[in-house]
Amino acid sequence: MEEGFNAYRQSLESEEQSIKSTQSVVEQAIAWFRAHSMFVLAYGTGCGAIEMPPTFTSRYDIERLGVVGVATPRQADILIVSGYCSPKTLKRVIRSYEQMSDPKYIIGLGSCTINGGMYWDSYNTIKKLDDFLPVDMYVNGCMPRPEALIEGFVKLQEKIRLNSSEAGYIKYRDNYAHYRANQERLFGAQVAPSYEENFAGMN
Amino acid sequence: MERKTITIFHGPQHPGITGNMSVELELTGETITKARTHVGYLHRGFEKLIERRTVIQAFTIVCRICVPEPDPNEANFALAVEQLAGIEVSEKATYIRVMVLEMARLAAQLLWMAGQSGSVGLGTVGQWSIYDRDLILDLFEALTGGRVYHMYIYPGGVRRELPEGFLERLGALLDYLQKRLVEYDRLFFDNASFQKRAIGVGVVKSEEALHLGYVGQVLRGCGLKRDVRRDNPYFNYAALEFDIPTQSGGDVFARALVRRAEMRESIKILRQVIAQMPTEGAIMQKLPKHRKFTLPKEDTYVAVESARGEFGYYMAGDGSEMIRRMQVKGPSLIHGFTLLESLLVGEELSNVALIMNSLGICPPEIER
Amino acid sequence: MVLIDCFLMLLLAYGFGFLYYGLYRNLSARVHGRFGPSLAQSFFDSVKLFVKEQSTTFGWMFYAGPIIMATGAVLNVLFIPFINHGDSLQGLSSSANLIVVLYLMVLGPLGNALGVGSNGNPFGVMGITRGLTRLIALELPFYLAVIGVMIDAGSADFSAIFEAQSQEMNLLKHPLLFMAAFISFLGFMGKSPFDVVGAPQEVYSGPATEFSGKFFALLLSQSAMFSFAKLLLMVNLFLGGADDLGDLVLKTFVLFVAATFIGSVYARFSTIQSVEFLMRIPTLLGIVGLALL
Repeated sequence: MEEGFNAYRQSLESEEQSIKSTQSVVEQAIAWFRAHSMFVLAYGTGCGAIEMPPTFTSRYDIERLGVVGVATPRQADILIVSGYCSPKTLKRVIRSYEQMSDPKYIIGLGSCTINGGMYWDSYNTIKKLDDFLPVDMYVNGCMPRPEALIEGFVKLQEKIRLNSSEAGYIKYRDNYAHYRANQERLFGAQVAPSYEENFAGMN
Repeated sequence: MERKTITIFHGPQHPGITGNMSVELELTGETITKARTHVGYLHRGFEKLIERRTVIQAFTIVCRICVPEPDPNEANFALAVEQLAGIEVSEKATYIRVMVLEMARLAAQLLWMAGQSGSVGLGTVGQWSIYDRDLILDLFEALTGGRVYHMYIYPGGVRRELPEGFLERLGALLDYLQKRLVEYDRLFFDNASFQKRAIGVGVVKSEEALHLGYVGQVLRGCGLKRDVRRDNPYFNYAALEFDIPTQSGGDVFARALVRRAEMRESIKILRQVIAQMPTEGAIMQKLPKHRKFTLPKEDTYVAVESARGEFGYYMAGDGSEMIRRMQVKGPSLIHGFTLLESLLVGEELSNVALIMNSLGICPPEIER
Repeated sequence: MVLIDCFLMLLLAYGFGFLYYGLYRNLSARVHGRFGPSLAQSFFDSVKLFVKEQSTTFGWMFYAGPIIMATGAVLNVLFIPFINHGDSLQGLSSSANLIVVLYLMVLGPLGNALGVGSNGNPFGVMGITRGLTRLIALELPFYLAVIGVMIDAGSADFSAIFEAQSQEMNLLKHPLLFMAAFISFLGFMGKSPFDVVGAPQEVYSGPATEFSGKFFALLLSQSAMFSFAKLLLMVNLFLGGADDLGDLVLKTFVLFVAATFIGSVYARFSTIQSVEFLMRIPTLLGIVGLALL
């Protein structure tokens, strides 16, 4: 048995193989198409938005991976929460996320989405985005470099190709009560209407 | 006959908004009859956070007040602390500071160009100018270690010595940018379709511009020659030679032309800095120990010229190591509320993004 | 036989439509100074959208919109001959003429208006209003040019138009008419400076704002096919049609590249400006071109 990075990689690959063996060819093909076409919602929620133009333009050109920006949540697959969220922003982020159609994924960009980052003692930012919305991929740093964001996308691609049940939108559907309770605690009376009835009719 | 109006929110999730803010618009057809700015999406409470921090702790977060150009914040913070604590800065550090500020100004203008051209659907300019901005960010990375947030201009000097061969790299980049600016002229500023969109849109009257406290390109776009670098020189801008470009139109296109000329002025200043940079000298003064770094019970107001206008800090100490009060006055507050709300009335919906970009509104700095 | 022909034409239009859309993204990426996505990227996008879940409903009228648009695009492809002689790749063009094609070109935007009007999204309604306003201005110069071509050929049949161009193509015979038609063709293709309909900085995605999943994929597919149909129409009217499949690719590609490059160096006009512009310059060119016939 090898040790170190290679062993870790091999264990990941064998895990991938075992998940893939349970899926039909059609499922795998669909997952491949999903991984190679990712529409990102154009919503710069925080300072991380400043590194998104370089990522999307000619220096780093993330369109090579099939990632493009779209204007409306209806057509988007990926929501990038770029940095700290004040409650007022979070409310809009949640509504945008709930308007997106499945399958959908969230990338938390910057340290602020993980633990508050620079604003750990601020009275007006949330400290952990995952309490309110299911985050699929974190990219840490303040600012994360464009390369880091691209790495995040590549990792997310791998995750989508695995087609696993760990995806955020499934978690959100299954544990809606948990997320909803956190949202209610934060927003109090101003919480957005419940999203639950939209789950009816889905598997 | 009364016409039906609809109310829409332009933002915060909208490709045509400059950052995370929103404008509530009342529309008749596509004509705006009333506009209201909504902010609060980005409030982090900087001024309160700083009250609980020592000087070195506060230094790490001031640069995050305005994301597109953090360096004027650092310069303001350093200036204010130095004035309160009575610290003298060496000549070399001053030159480096001017260099950093002018590089930041160039980077911010290139970013503005991307936004402004994007607002009229001319994506090609944005793709090019973000690339060129990235080349400046590369130099920043070599100098400070960070692409966007530099944390470099520290009270008492600057934090690092210039790397080997940095000035030559900067000179080469300036040569490159000078060639690129000609191409931007041809593709963007001299483009008939952009001129058709921008001329006569968002006109600011010069008589009300001073009276209501507008700053930066808005003032210079309507013919008023105001610039903090000239009116109230800081660092060693008094010793440097540069012009303050003005235009008389007062519209979006006039402000664009002012910015186009300012990019050339920044290159001129940077060339002078390269030529005059002292080779010897300390870059950092000896400062008191962190816990003993106290500010006297005094207050001060300092201002620098950011890429979008006067950027000011009011700072007060109370004899302890904490900063008692720090207030930020950026250009966006007045432009984003008073000016934007009045300019938008009577305009088409398609001009909202155009006007917002040309005013240089940066929401994180409105709400700190 | 006709059925196989039609099927082949649709397949070709679908393939070329997506290939050209991919090429458009690639070529404009080169103008931007980057590599751009793979050629098949738009195809990946449409497959992904087809398997995405649909979460919004606004009644059946909402779904009828994209279907009417797709019908318009499909019929357009079938009624425009791909090749200027022979029996293959003619589709139904022998039983229709230019007037039918022009009529069908308007069907798409109208169908879209029906669908978008029922979802109540203000940006969608604004987008469709812009689209219809622009359409009126686009049609004026285009119809002038088409009338010129029809007068020249003495008929509205494609075969007669090909016949009239057998010696010299209309581009060389009537350059003014071609310019009038080409400018409005830029607008039909949604290129700058006339891309007011789905201007993201102004009205989100315009008419497509509320569409997601399958119906958005349908919109993408039909617009890819429809773009190819417009390219074909221009080739048939002004470049003398295509002698064979290679000629077809060459001629449509040249037109397409010209439109793409022009589109990437101009800023977007506002709606009123684009209407004014189209009513003035191309219309004037068209009238002068008609007078010179």
